[in-house]
Amino acid sequence: MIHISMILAGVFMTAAPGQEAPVVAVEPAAPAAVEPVDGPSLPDGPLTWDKLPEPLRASIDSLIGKPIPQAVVVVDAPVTADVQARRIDHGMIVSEQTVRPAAFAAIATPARNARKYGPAGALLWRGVSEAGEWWCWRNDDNFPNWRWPSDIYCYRDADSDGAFDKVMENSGEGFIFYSRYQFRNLGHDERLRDIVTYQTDARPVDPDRFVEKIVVRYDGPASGRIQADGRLTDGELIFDLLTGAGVATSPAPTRGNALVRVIPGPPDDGLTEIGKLIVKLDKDGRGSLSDPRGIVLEVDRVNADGSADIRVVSGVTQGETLLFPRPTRETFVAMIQEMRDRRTNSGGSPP
Amino acid sequence: MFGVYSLTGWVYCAVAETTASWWAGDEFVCYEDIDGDGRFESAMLSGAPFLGVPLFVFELGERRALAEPAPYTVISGAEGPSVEFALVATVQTRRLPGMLAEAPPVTMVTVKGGFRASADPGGVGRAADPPTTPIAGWADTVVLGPERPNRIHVLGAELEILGLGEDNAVRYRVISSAPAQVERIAMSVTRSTTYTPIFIPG
Repeated sequence: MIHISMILAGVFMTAAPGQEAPVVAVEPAAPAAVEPVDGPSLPDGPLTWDKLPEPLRASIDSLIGKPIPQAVVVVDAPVTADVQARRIDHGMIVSEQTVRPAAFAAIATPARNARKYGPAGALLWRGVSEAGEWWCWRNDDNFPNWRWPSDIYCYRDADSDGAFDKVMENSGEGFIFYSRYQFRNLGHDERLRDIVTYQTDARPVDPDRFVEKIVVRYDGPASGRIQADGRLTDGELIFDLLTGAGVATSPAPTRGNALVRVIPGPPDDGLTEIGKLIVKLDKDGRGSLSDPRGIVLEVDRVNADGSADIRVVSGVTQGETLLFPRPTRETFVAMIQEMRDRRTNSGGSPP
Repeated sequence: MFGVYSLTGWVYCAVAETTASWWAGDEFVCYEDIDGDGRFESAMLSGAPFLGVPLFVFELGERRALAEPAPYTVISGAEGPSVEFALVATVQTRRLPGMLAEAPPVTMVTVKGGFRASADPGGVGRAADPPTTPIAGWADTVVLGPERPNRIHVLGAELEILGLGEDNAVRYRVISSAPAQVERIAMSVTRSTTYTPIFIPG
């Protein structure tokens, strides 16, 4: 008997309003973990931190306190504030800063499989997670022209005795494609038994090797009412947050064949999107954004075709920072308020 | 032609009448002026209108250089192409989950907002009364009955549902129509693969 499988492909198409925008200005780290409690109900009216039920506040505080796995970076310089508003259009870069790892260590005694886990002298950059401090390495010989990012190995010395106790391998989760060292996930425990020792206070031979960019780019309006003078009000504006080496890599294939169809993608600017910043427009068509990373933008006017007059007040805060911060208490309060309001107004569409 | 924003700038698209035929439906052609000199240098074959709506370009195709750059002028949105936006009402009578067996079923009126697909996605000729492509999320429902709220809100339009006439025709009053607004619509295609085993006696 011969078994042959026949493959049928079906295509389902849907269209929906884009950017059902979350209230938070930051890529939400763990909003799904916090639900308005069914027990003590939420009070009516505008919510503040103090009005939330105590069990909810306790669970939010426990989330906020712990950093998400990521590299610890230093922002080289602040953004110069705009003195007056400037006109921007879709796709324009609004601000650009450089970042690099905050600290380096080096492997002294490597694992037996040094090719996999890093050779002697390999440079490790500092990372952080809920558990504490990590030192991370990856084989970056092919960066930025890699077809796929190589695995990241993060080491942790929990008892600070100069030898690592744990090695984690991230082989693909939450990779930031255009970054040499930034990541969002530690991966799984390798259960490595080898004694790997290290020395802190290492330095890269070429410091510029690790310089990357953090960029805010204007996307466009997601929604808004068009007034008689062409202004957009009562809506939302989207900015993209991107990071990476900012170097165009080798061009992706543009021609397929009978088996593979290549869909041309956006241009290769060496940046990976890591979040969206949403600015809400009020009834006068103005809005502002204040992001926990330090980014502050003021929007003076948006037109129906998406062009806008904005001012950059500040970029990511200079100095040592985390590019994936937890939402603040205020952003959680705003999220919970939006969820509560949606539940009570569940019969209607948003204005 | 209408503008579509791509990551390299604005491209301007129109439905190409020359490529339409009885077996292939309409296709978009999109033009781009990369250097901003007021002339298009390249064109892209951008596929069929998504869900038949002739303003929905799902993906821009590969660029091909034009033999001669073509000058163009930008006009206001109001002078450009448009599609009809329609509110379509449907009536449904059923039991809601959790209702007691002896309770009478409820009648609901749902109003959905969408666009008229004046292009025919099947390519078998133009429909006389083009269907409306609904947009997920642009809908509201009321349950008919005394003492029940009967206002429908969709995209800022407000309707009062007065009841049902003959043949379930919905009687309504427009309190306010949808105001001028900007909305972003995400188009997505879900591909599913079904495996069917076939036995070949060996």
